[in-house]
Amino acid sequence: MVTLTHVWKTYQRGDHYVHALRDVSVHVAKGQCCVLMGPSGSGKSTFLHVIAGLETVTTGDLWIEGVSTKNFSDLEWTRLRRDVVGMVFQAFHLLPGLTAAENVGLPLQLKGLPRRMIRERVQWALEAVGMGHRAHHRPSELSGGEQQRVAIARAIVHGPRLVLADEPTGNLDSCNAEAIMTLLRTVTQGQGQTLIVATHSPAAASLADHLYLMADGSLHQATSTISRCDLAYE
Amino acid sequence: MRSPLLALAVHHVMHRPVRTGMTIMGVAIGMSAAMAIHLANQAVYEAFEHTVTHVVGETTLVVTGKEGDLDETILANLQQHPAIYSANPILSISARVASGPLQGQALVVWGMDLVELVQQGKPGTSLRALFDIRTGSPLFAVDSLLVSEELAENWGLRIGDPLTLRVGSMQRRVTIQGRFPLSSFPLLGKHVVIMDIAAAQVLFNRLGRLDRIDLVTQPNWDVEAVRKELSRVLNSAPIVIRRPAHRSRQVERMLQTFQMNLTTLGGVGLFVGTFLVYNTIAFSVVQYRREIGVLRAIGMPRHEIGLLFLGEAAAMGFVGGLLGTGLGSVLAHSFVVWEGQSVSELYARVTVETIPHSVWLYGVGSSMGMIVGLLGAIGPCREASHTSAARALAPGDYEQTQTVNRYRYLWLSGMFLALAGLLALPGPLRGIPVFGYLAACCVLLACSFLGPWCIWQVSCLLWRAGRGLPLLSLAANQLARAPGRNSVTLSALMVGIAIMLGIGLMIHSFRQSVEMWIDQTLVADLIVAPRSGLYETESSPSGEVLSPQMIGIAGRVVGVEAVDPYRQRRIAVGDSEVILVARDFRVHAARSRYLFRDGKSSEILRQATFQPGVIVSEVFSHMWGVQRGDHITLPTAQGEQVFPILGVFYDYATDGGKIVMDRSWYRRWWQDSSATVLAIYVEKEANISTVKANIEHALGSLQNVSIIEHGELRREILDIFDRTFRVTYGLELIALVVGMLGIVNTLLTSLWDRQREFATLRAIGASAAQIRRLVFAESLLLALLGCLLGLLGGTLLAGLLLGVINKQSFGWTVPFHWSNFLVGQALAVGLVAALGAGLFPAWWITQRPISEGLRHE
Repeated sequence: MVTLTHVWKTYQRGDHYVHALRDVSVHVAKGQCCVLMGPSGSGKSTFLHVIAGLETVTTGDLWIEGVSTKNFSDLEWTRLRRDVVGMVFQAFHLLPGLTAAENVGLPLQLKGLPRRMIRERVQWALEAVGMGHRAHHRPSELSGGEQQRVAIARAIVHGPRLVLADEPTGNLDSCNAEAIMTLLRTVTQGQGQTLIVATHSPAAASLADHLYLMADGSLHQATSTISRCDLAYE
Repeated sequence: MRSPLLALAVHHVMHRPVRTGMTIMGVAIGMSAAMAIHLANQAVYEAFEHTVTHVVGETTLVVTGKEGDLDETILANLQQHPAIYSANPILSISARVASGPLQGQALVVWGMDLVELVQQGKPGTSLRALFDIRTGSPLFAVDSLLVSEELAENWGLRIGDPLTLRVGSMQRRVTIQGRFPLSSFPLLGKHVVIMDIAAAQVLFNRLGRLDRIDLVTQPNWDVEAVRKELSRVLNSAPIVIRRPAHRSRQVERMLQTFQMNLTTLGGVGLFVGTFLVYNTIAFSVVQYRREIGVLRAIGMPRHEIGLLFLGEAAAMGFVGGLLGTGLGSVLAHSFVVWEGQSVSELYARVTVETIPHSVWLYGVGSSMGMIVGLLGAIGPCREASHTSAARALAPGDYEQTQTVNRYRYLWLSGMFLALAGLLALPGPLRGIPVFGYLAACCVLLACSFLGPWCIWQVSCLLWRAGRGLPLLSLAANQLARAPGRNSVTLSALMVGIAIMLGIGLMIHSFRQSVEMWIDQTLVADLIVAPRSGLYETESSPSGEVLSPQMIGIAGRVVGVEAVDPYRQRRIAVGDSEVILVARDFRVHAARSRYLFRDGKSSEILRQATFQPGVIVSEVFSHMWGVQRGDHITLPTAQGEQVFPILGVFYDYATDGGKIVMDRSWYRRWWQDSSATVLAIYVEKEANISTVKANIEHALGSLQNVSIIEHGELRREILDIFDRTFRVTYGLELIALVVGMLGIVNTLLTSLWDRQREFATLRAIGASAAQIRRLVFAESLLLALLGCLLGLLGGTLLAGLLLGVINKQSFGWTVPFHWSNFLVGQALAVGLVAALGAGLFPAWWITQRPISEGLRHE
């Protein structure tokens, strides 16, 4: 589904360069759940942003569904985000002026789908995350956990094949965090979607098919069950 | 170490050079318009004063006979009066060259006291210094004539040449004894020649008679008081003492009003500039909200936070004012050409040579810019100083919404509208419609205060309409989220559109009225006038006339259906002079009409033909407080006569009063059968050009005449009209440009505030084009609202301009004429301006890195 080969992401800060990603090479297969862990500033968000085309790679190549994104135009990235990728953010990023249903319906409206179809899909997505009864509430009227559920509904409503979640539980208490991670995993698994989650929550590690550790821009695969359990109960 | 406040203010300004530059530019553009008008007004006024002094000399009062010329014995009385510095007798005689190659050429012989002229000049002045004369020339001889160098050159005259002049039935032979440069006697027209007054009286059989006496009052005496005192002392004499036409209070008031209209219009740019400063400082407050929170958290008092942003605004205003003054000085050069031309066409010929410049001007400009900056910044600074530290530092605060009490503003709007209505009622102050201008300001304020309520209503409407259409809901939400900021932008655009539409409708209505007036009252096919009539000056106010013989000849020309001889002269009514017109009402009524305030034109004209009576212009009716049915006393050649006023008509030809009577009654009371111009109606089948040539041929041998076709006259009048108002379009454009900058500012503020929102949209699949469309939609929404409010404001403004300001300034009633084209044009310009203003913000937001936007707080 997603393949990165020798990807570097470098920022220039005055006279010196900061490497957010250092020679990252990884392959995430279709339908898998991949969890990235690591401390703040290790490059997890940059990794997801690069895959979603929110940032460009400095060197290396990124392949999505077997297609190299090296020469992608802005429009191609837009199409990719609209059709292939769904994103969940730590701060939910729901638009405050819109209701839950309207927030969820946005990706479909951006695609130009007919209103009836949008209504049906939105209803389905909200039901899938257990928020059908809160469809006409504004974000300010929802709790943090509810807001993130709506955000997940927005990420899956258009049937993306790849869901990227950047610290989805970062703004939630532990109880809500676990529920959200389980929901995310269940919903994407049910749709056969590939899920990549960046988090520093050890609880998420137990849900992963593959667990990666990120430190100072470098990616390492955590292979042993012990290390996973260590992380999970740390 | 630098003051932390100063360091922060400098950082704010330098950190966003584009916005700072844009605001400075906005203030500078507004200031440049105001400054250019101020400088041009000053230059034109000085030139006007100079011209007046140049044309009428130092003359402060003019004495004329009530019923024609005056007895010269009165001169001694005047010269002895302590308030009089000098009294110069003048005899003015219209003549034509009777023989030779110059036969038929018209000129005016001006008899003046040459001795008195020398005595009044600088010490040591002699006749030789004033005139180019040969030694021993008999300058005071009865046949001695002095001509201007210009006329001598044009007509090929040399000293010693004889000339035969015809005055009425008299023929007199004169000899040119000297020349003078016209610049020495600028009060003379090009076709005026000089004789000693005693010689002129003898030569033209006018012994003991004068046409007028020019008085120069003592410098420390009040001219008006002297005029009243002399009128009282010389009560028994049949004379009128008035101020010279160019110095009349009427002309000065007109010029003052004309300039005040321009100044008001020029001030609009500055007014809109304050909105721009508001937006920029409001943006700064949004951008540095977190910084405000930190500063408050570490103990900075509220007033210092306010001072920080006030300082920014003052600095931007100062620089904008300085640049605007410089730009205004440059603009003034081209502006002054237009204003000089308009003033020349409307009031008095002026030549503007210099535009006043001084360092002081830059001081005033920068101070005014600073005041504009401070006024614009009051609101946002208040908001900044009241920002809660806890809220400013809290994450997610970007979602906070501005709250504005829209009902309070709605109430304020109603109050200002009511106030505008009340201010429209009182009359002018010293001839200036001060209350009218205040009412116009109140209308603009009322429309501005409608902004928050309108925004709320429209956003609710859109919200309902946009259910299920999140992008429409987003635009609606954006409107409602910052009503204060959006209202200010709305006001800026509204003012631009209102001014544009208001003045546009006013000019349109005015033009329609003038066109209607031309088409209904000036329908004669040809206008015949003596060529010297074109050189009418203070020295020969009545100009040359066409004799009864010529009127008869013109009527017999093949193709001429009818002739309406039009006689115009100035007569004294009370303390003032008005224009008296005599014409053939029967001819006029059969083919044309007057636009009467009430009553049918044909009936009133028929009545005025069969019974002695006059019709008066609307301006005269206002000036003298007389109506149809009242009576008026006029000084005729047969003594004072009382005439009933049979009708009051609309007239746009003069801003002074006008009295019109039938020619038969005029001939009876004034014993004058001549005409100033002939209005000629051509037979339907006849070719106008052929008839014109025939008339030229028939009258040419008797007198040089100019013949203008109706179309040419119509074009000329409308050309002058259009030229007069041309500058207003430039000033409207300035208000609109500043309004446009306001939209750019608001959009940028809004986009900065919502970076995360746009980044989220991009992250979930919105294309750059979709984001741009959203920004344009928001810009368009603001523009639509601004245009609608502008439409309301513009219509009210046009009503005020026509019904109050112009009516009080010029005395003309101009009916309101609606124009769909103008409304459409104003809306189109507003919408295009808004879309243009949306270009840069739309481009800017799509250039922002998405990941950075997602992190934006």
